[in-house]
Amino acid sequence: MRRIDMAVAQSETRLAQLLRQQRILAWLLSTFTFGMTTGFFALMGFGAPILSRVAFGRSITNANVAAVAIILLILASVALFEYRAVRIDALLHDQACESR
Amino acid sequence: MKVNAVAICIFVAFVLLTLIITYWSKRHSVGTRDFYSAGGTITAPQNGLAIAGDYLSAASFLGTIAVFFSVGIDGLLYAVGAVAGWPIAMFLVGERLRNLGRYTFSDALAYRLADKPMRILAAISTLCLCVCYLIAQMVGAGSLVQILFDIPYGYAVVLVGSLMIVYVIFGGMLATTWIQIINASLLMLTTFAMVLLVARRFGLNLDAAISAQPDPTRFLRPGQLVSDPLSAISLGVAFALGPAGLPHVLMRFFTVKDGKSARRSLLYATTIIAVFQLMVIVLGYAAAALLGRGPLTGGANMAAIHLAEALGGKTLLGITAAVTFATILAVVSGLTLAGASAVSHDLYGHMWKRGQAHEISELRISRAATLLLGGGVIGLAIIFQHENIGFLATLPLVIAASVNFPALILAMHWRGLTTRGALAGGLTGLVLSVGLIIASKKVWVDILGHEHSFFPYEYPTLFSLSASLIVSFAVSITDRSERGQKDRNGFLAQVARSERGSDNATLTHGVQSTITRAL
Repeated sequence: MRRIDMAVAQSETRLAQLLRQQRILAWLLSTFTFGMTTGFFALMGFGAPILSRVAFGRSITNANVAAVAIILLILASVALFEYRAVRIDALLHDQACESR
Repeated sequence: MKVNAVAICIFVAFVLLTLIITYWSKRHSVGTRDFYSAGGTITAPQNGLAIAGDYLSAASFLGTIAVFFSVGIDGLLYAVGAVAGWPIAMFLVGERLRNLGRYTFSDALAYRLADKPMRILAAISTLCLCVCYLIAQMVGAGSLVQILFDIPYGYAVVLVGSLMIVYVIFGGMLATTWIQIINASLLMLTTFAMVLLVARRFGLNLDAAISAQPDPTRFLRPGQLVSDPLSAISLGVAFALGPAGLPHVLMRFFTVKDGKSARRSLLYATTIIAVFQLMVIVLGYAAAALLGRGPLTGGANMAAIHLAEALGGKTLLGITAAVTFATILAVVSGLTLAGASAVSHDLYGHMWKRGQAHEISELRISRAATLLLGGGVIGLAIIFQHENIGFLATLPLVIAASVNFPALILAMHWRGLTTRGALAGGLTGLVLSVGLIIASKKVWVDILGHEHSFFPYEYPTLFSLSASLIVSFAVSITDRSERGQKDRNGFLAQVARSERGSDNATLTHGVQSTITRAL
């Protein structure tokens, strides 16, 4: 196999690996987000006493803490997904350059 | 509420600005690509702002603060719910959809599945969803304008509807996008200014919200907004999965140049919506602290407007009211465009003309559909003036989560889905979601005046989505037709296209086998 063909094959294998990892990450993060959201709605719907317990001062309860934590975790998860996706973009870009 | 000069000035300035944008857009839009997708010229940050502007309707702003004011801590459900759907749309849908489609999400559905049935299903669900959403928004807009400008409700609805028709007919997606960008920016700035005023008054301590309550434990007790836990979970499912199936939002992914930009726009949109909701939580507490317990002019839904007055006087009240109105205009424009595109692109262009429609005739049909849809919704908004619009506002998310979301997710991620399965599942989701909402207490008893409801829960998403998925799986697995085999065989090419933005035909044999192994 010529050196350039080997390089192309290696790059393709790497890309396929990254795409597979990204697919798994997408489903994991989606399940996590979905679970957190429906879990929070279920606890609120049941009127779970733990949520009305005051965490800070007199007005910030565990429900507030949980809501803010969910929103921040969602922000972290989209940042992580984008960070990983950028590597795939770079490989796809390299492949496009090579094919030209 | 007396007529507010500041509100009228800002309202007129906004309308003039948007009409100038519409005129400019008309000069820059020549073909169907410009009309449906702004020529793919929108950048990721711009599209992120526009998606936020499209989604952050008056319900997000007025509704969440109203729930904090009237019910208490349950307002957190709306705040979390409004953010929850976006990451899922980003992880599973955004980039793939952009790589597979051109103008509407049915392009992606029809990539490997049969064109005609998929487009009919997508068009029916899009129209159902858009009409429900539009009626809810128009009734809200009519009431707001009626109160703020002291004009009859009918005139207010005609005014909003006419502006919406002008934006879409003449400006298409380009004008709609810029109106949404301006709306999102104004809404974020106004909300931020209100949060700063709250911080100046209370510092970081929001205990005043509790001190103002006659029964503080009631304010802090969850579970008062939704009557039963199953309905709460159904609402959560609709919030989490609905945004990835909203046609007017999905259409926005085609306004950027590639899949990467579509994914990035969702990153920006999620961040903007999350920050907005965090600020709304603070404002909800401030409303509870400052507005007392007495009835408000215009009802609890006007709590945000009264809060603005309490924080910044008549000027901030005027600004907030005008921005809220702008929010409604931005959302209804996006919805009308999505509904009109379903008619002209899917039904006329692909079904009637079998993909051979002339650009000019397709544009003409799109504009006629906009006019018909706009006119129809104006009439319906007048008819529904005194009805409870709560169920109409939740219907779109429920339908989107029960019909479009499962169809799209299965089509893009499951090799086994066939046309028959997608159609059977989609129709099951549509019939159940709409039927069960009508059979629920809110509609069957409260609006239609019957004694008992058939369906004991408020939101049916859990049932309609589950049924849609089960039927899709069952019908696809048992489908032994030639078409079914063709649908399955097309999956590999679709994956290559959706993940790489290139056709399978252009990939080498080695690459194809690597993808097959990876799957």
